[in-house]
Amino acid sequence: MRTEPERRPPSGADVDRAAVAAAKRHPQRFAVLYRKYLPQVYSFAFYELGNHHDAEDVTERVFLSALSALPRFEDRGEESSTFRVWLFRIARNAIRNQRRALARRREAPAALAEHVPSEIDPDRLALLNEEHAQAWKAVARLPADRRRAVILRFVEEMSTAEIAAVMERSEGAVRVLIHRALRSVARDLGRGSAS
Amino acid sequence: MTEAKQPARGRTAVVDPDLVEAARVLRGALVRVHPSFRFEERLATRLGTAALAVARDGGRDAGHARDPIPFPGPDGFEQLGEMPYASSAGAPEPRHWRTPIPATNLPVRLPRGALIGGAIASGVSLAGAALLARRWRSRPSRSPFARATRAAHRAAADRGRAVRGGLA
Repeated sequence: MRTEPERRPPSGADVDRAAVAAAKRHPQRFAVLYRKYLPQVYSFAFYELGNHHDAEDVTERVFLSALSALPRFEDRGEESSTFRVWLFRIARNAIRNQRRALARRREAPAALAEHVPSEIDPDRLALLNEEHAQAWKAVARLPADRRRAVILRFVEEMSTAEIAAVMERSEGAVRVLIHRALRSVARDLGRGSAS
Repeated sequence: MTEAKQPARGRTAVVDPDLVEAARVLRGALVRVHPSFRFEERLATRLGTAALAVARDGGRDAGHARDPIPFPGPDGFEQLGEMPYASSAGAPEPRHWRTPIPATNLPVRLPRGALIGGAIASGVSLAGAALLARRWRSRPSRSPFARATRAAHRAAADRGRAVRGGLA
């Protein structure tokens, strides 16, 4: 597993417009968007599903779907309608479908069920830094919607408007989710009082 | 972070230092995770194939590239062309249900109607030939040449019986 500690600047409304237009005219140009967003989509899937195999499956499905549906994508010039948000909404749906498939597989024989990941495995993924390991555990204990909001905020560095568009929630609801998530993480890290 | 809009109303922003600290820890701990180079290149190859399908079909559905096993036409498999990932260079690893099936492993489909019709025709031909042969053998010919042959045969047989009986 490779990690990238340095951050990229968040995408604005128009950063991908030219690349998307080129990919619409020539589907082979989709490679530019693929190379740019592969780590982001993969990270999102990995944090949501907790293992590389499922993250790879979802990532593959996301980009194939995006390539297929790209002619129907429209950038309305808003922060909530960028290619990035659109791509992450595809990813969110793909992750949801993957979760359903995994849930169905849990009813399969025990030999298969052993390979079904449920949540992020903190022990396997724990970083060397103890503080980071505690943060991982705290994030893993969050409810799904709070964890998703935190990942989109801190891993993908999305704005509140972008997160709201991806999660199909209001911006106020996203602020509440992140606030409560931070409160839970602070409590688990021993820095906050229960509320 | 979310309370940052409060000062616009003239109030002092009170940000909980515990939340600020939690955000700092999360910012450092939640790093972006990269996929392996192998997966990245494999998916790039797959997307390249799908992009060609989209360009060819006018963007109707790239999902066809996910199952690149076209239905064989009546002229056989020659018209299918090269199967995706058929070349060894850069070929991705087989991967459960998405693995394309090589054309050489596809079952050869023969026209069922022709097979059934052929079998019936052969049976009729054989049975008819046997029936005609039996009838041809059991029915005496009425031609003059045949009648003369049968008469000569009978005369020879009668002479033989007379010799064996001491009449000659």
